[in-house]
Amino acid sequence: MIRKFVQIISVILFNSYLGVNLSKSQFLYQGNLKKVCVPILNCYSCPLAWGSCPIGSIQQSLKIGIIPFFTLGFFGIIGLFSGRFVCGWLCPFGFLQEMLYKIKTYKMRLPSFSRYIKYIVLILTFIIPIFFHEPFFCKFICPAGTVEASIWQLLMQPMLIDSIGFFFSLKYLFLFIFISGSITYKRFFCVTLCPIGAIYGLFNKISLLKLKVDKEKCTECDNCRLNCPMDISIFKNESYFDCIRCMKCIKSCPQHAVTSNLKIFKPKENNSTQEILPEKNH
Amino acid sequence: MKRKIIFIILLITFITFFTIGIINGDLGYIKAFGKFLCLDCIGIS
Repeated sequence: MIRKFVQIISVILFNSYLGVNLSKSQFLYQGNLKKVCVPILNCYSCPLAWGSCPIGSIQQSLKIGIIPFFTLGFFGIIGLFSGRFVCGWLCPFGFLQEMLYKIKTYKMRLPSFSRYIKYIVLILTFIIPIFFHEPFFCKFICPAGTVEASIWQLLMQPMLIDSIGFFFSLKYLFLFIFISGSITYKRFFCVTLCPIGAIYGLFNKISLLKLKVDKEKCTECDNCRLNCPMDISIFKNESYFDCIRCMKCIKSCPQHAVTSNLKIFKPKENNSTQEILPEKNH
Repeated sequence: MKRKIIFIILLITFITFFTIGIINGDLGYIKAFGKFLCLDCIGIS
């Protein structure tokens, strides 16, 4: 419940610019905050966005031969302290996927190899702008740009419709795959494609924020996986690269075997009868 | 102990990167991109 609240606040904080003025051709925020990237996937061209997207910043910098020191440092510092915590608590796109997954329909599990696709995407996100001068992720894949920016910018600037071409169709095809995937699979985009999650995931092993599983208490009931938004059995690997530190496993473990080194996330020891029922997974 | 050493080395590296970025004034998109509306992001290019 607290996490949902934080996610909603995050959506509002990162996307609350209300200065769009069609008569003055002001279609998005153009102030000083736009010069700084945010730690999450949030499209730069969204009419409500205050900051710039870190992946977009990296690609645009590499495209013109600049090393994106600030963005890399920014990613690294956040990753070192919290691992993928921002994915679980702050990312509006992750929140959107969790909401889509609540739609009652047939649910499936992604094969484990799909978790590694995002690392291929991450490598291409760095290599293609350097050698081909194209922002690969923004141009061909990013559904955040389509949801948060494309739809609204086209509605506000109908003259852009004349420039629609192949890439536009490709982006909307990815949007369709993203929506149907997010309804069927847990955090479909975060698990398979997100390059930001891939970067933060690399830090899970050494980050300050950690989860710990008491092997003596753990009965391997898999209740943690059933409640996990990323479909992870945390008892198999406490520092798994896909763990988004949402702390749902702490609450859902009937044995209180999962703990965090942050005191606020520790389970209540006298609350042994409380058990969160797993979400239905067909 | 090994993890702590890696953590400290990486932390120093990233703080250095972060500081270089600030000194260069290269904080995000604008300097590299030069525009506010990213046509690639919205599927038009």
